[in-house]
Formats: sequence, C-alpha cells, structure tokens
Amino acid sequence: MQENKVIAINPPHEGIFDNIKKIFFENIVTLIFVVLCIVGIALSGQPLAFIVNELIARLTRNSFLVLSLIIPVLAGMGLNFGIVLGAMAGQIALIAVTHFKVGGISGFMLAVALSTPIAILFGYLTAKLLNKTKGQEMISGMILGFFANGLYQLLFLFLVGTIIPMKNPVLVLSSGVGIKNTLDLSGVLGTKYALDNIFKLPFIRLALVFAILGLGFYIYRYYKSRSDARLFENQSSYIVNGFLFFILTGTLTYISMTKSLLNMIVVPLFTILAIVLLCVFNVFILKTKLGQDFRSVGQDMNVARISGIQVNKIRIIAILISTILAAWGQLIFLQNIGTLNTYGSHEQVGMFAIAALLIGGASVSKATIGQAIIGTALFHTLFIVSPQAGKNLFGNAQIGEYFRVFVAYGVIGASLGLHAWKQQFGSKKRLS
Amino acid sequence: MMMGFAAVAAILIGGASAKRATMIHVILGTFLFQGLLTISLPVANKIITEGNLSEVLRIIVQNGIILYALTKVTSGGD
Repeated sequence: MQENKVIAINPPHEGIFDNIKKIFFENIVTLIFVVLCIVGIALSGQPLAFIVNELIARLTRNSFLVLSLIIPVLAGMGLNFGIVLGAMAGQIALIAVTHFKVGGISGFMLAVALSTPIAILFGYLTAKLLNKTKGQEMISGMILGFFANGLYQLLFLFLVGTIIPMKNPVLVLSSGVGIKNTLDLSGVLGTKYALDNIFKLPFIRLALVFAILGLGFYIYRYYKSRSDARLFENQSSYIVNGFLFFILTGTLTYISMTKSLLNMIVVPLFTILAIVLLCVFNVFILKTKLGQDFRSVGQDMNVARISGIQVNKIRIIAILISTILAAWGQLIFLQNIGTLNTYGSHEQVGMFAIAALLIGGASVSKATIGQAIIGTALFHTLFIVSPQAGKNLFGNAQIGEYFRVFVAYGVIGASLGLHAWKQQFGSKKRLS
Repeated sequence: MMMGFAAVAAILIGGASAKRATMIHVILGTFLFQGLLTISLPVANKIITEGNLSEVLRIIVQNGIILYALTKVTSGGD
C-alpha cells in the first residue's frame, strides 16, 4: 500500500521537474545569451531609451535576412550559407539602380524587381551545386560564398569599364575601370531610408496595439476553450499568455503616461510590415503541400523519395526561396544603412544571420520564426552594448568588439558541435 | 586564417581526392597552383593594368577547385 502510493505520486512530480529540466536544456543557448545581454546592459550603463531605439533599428534591418534562413533548415539543408549569393544579387541590383539614378521608393522597388531574376539564377545554381553535395550543404555553401565573392570582385573590379561599358564618375573609379569601394545611397537620387521613411509610427503606441490585440486574442481563446473540448487542454497556457499580455499592456500604458524618452522612439511601419508579411508567408507555406514536402525531405530524404516526392526539385525550390528572400533582405538592410560597401557588405551577411538564428535557439534541423526574431534581438543587443560594456569593464572598447566576433564564431561552432553530438547520441539510442 | 585553403586547393589540383592523396599529388599540385599564381600575375597585369587581377583569380581558382572536390565526395562520406 505504502509502495503503491509512492509510485502513484512520484511520476507526475518527476514529470514536472523533468519538463523544467528539459526546457532548460533545450534553450540553454538562448538563456545564456539572455543573461549575457542583461549583464551587458547593466555594465554599459547606457540609457534604456537609447538601447531600445538602436535595437528597433537593428531588428527592422536584420530580421528579414535571418528569416530567409528558415525554409532551407526545414528542408533538411542545414543553415544556408548561400544567402551570401542572394545578398550579392541584391547589391548588383542596387548598383544598377544607383547608376540609373532612380531614387526613393520607386528606386527601391526597381531594385527589388531587378534583384529577383538575378537571385533566381544564383539560387538555381546554388541549389544545383548543393544537390551534388548532399550531406555537406553547409560547408559547400560557405565555400561557394567565397568562390562567388571572387567572381563578384572580377565583375565589379575588372569587367565594369572594360567589357561592360559604364561611364558614371559617381560610381566608377577615376581610372575608368571598376566600381568604387563605397557608394553613398543618400540624397534624392539614392535609396537611403526609401522603405523606412514612408511612414513612421510611435513605438509605444504600436506596441500597445499589439499588446491589446494579444490580450484580446487570448481572452477570446479562453472563453472559446470553455465550450470547445479540443482547446480545453491548452486552457492554462491561454491564462498564462493572457496574463503576460495584460502585464505588457499595463506597463506600456504606464510608460505612455510618463515623460519617458521611450515615447520619442518611432518605428518604420512598412519595413515591419514587410517582415510580418514574410512571417505570414513562412507560416502559410508550411501549411501547403509544398511545405509538407519540405518537411518530409528534411526528415528523411530516402523515405521522401520512395513516397514519390521529387527530392532534388524540392531542395531547389527551398534554396530558390531562400536566395530571393536574402536578396530582398539585403536591400532592406542597405536602404537602412545608407552606404553600400561594394566589396564588403555581403561578406558577413551569412555569418551574422546564422549566428543570430542559432542564438535564438534554432539548430541545424529546426528553426522557427520566434527563434529568428528572439535571436536577432539578443545578438544585436549584444552588438549595441558590448563596446561600451568592454570600455567600462576593461577600459578598452576594442575588447567588446573582439568579444562579439568571438560570440558570432563561437556560437556557430558550438551549435554545430552540439548538433553532431546529439545526432550521434540519438543514433546510438536507436541502435540499442 | 585562409592558409588551409591554399594548401587544400594545391593538393586537389595535383589530382588528390577526399579519399586518396599521395606525395606526388602534393608536389605536382603545389608546383601547378603556385606556377599558375606566379605566371598569371604578369599576364594579368598586361591585360588590365589596374588593380590586382591575380589575387581575384587566386580566390576563384582556389575556391572553385575545393567546390569541385566537394561535389565528388558522396553523401555522408560512405
């Protein structure tokens, strides 16, 4: 009798404890970075309004690129280092648009239109290569980025002005051959802030709308769950989420009452709209036949092939989508930065986007929209505070810079190692 | 940091694959790769006087040959 009781009580208790442990271990990377960010913010001593302002600018600038990585991950192709080629497509289009002297939003849209066919071509070639190197897509993609960088330099350093006629003293070097190292996109004929400056909203008000919508959604869900048996089991999560949104609403209302500097922050509505549209697209495509094909190919290529899915074709589509999105993402990035570093802007794109995604808790085989956004926020918070924190801590801002480079490479290396280890562990478990 | 790349490219040009590599591949590959880099410099400077075409050529050849070798390795190394 006594024993029976122990058995009856113990499992659920252990279950909760195991659950917490599991959540902790599965999100260990993200949690470490949350702690790092909080420590960094405290050490840097910068005002909160400044950090939030910078963070919003960086989030709108980089999220699109990070989100473009998700589909290849789901299709089992790992982290697509090939987005560097997409970024190149975007830059080629941007150079063309700057040459044609089309500025503002029309210039931006023209760049988007021009970059798409280029990105389709690049994406197709990338995918063809990755289909020949199954199982090592990531390293192939990375080397492909280096290789394409060589061709890109050949194009813009030597072919422009010799084979491709181009006479534009603003863009071409004084010798008449090759594009200048940095291009200024500001001014009437540039595309700086083309998308950002269409319409801007106060951050607090937008966040308040978001919070109230979230609160309303969960209250609605809660009332629905009382009558709907299928939703009933999620009832507690609705209460928790609803409560969190309630706190958020309260905090935001409080801030909007005060004379905090946070009220001065504005957000570019259309850029955010573009990012939200991409999120919706990502969710939508997973519900279609194509999305299910991505998943089945990602889970097991051989099983997918036997089930009649054209694996190679699906993989080509995944990389195509990713490359096109990366081209657009690079355009959004550059219109916010305002200067195009012709031979440098694309180089770090893959590395930083992938590091951001991994910090969000994604792995080589699993990535969600939430992870992409959270990862970008954490990674860039670290970017914002690390120079000042390094200066306050060691008396040298450069140490903070080193630290964030270390973080970018470290998190990629650690995540790949952890993934390989987990896979090995999993296969051993399956064998025994 | 990119030192390994040049070495890998050289041995691959010598005829090695991800499975098999010999001393002859090393000697021949280094000779060919470095020969290409050395000879291409004056030639490239004749064609286009501006800039450093040889360096760009090195990037393309070096990474191209590594990519080629990667396509020859079958999936999962089996």
